[in-house]
Amino acid sequence: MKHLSIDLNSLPGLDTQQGLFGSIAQSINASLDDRVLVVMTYLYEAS
Amino acid sequence: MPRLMRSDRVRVRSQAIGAMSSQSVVERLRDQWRGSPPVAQLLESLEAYAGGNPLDDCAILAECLTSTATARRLLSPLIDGLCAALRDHPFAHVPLRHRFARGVSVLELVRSAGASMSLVVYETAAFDGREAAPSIAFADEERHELCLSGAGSGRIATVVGEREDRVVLDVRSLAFEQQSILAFDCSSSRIIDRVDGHLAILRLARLPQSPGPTREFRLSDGRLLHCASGCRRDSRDEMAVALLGRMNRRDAAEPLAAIACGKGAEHLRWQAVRNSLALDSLVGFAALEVLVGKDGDELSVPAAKLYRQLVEQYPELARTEKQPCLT
Repeated sequence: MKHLSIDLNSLPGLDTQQGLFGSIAQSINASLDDRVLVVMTYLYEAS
Repeated sequence: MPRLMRSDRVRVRSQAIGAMSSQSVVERLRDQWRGSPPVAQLLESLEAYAGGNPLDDCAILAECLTSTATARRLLSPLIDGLCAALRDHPFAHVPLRHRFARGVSVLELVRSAGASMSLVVYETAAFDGREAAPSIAFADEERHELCLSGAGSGRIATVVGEREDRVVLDVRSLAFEQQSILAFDCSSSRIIDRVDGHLAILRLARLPQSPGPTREFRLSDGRLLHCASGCRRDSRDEMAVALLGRMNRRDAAEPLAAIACGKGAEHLRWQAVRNSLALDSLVGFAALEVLVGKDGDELSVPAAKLYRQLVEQYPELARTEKQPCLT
């Protein structure tokens, strides 16, 4: 069968949707904030 | 950008060297403090606590969290030393994880795996012109706090009952003063509403191996306002999955299908199956079928719902030859 193109936005999330780590403003609770950055490395190989 | 004259280059280089040596001064101070016998013992105690021992079995740590005299004796060499060094080297950075925002300072003093000890200082400025907090967050962690100095007032909230989209909260007023000792877990938390001048708190926190979500509830009626992952590793992986999807990396479809059928957190696995479907419908659909057939898996019900939706929308998917999902 041919590959179908399915739009990601048409696929529902879970009912218990949750935000990413650190997405609750914790200024009052005063925690260290680890939202800052995620570094990713991609390696491409010539073939 | 104009080229620097030779004299400017020399000046910039000497400033850079100066900054480096300033930094090495404060870092040396930190290392000396950590290497001193009482702090080395504290670190050993923290390591045992991080390994799962109850606080009462970690004598030095427990004493530090119950006696302001002990805490001060341990912290003074670091705080006094750093303050003096920063006066002499104003360009040096505090060599500890730290944060300062709106009158609230956090300085992470020591850490061992999922356990850390921090100094938290609230200043009056943190509460200037701010209304009383309308909500409170509960994180899945164990916390012990000792007020070292200053005074303030606030509220302690405990979850005493759970309903569908809200909780029943028991909220009590509390005065914070020197030597106040507090302990919290995933169902108890506190808010500070006001401080008199400043309030310095020594905090010990320990995260479980796989922390559950942090939840924020409205204080007036206990309604759930926000829920955030408590595990930074899961969130990092979820971002990577989303990015691969946005990059349209079809070659990632199979690894994502394997994540979806694996043993990770349910939100990560659901993002993986969604993106796998969008990248390669056949591979993603095979993973979805595996999830539907997994009895007892928390994703089997939403997977079955999505399966029915897709079969209705794309009947040809149901007629495709079954492909094994990599697990």
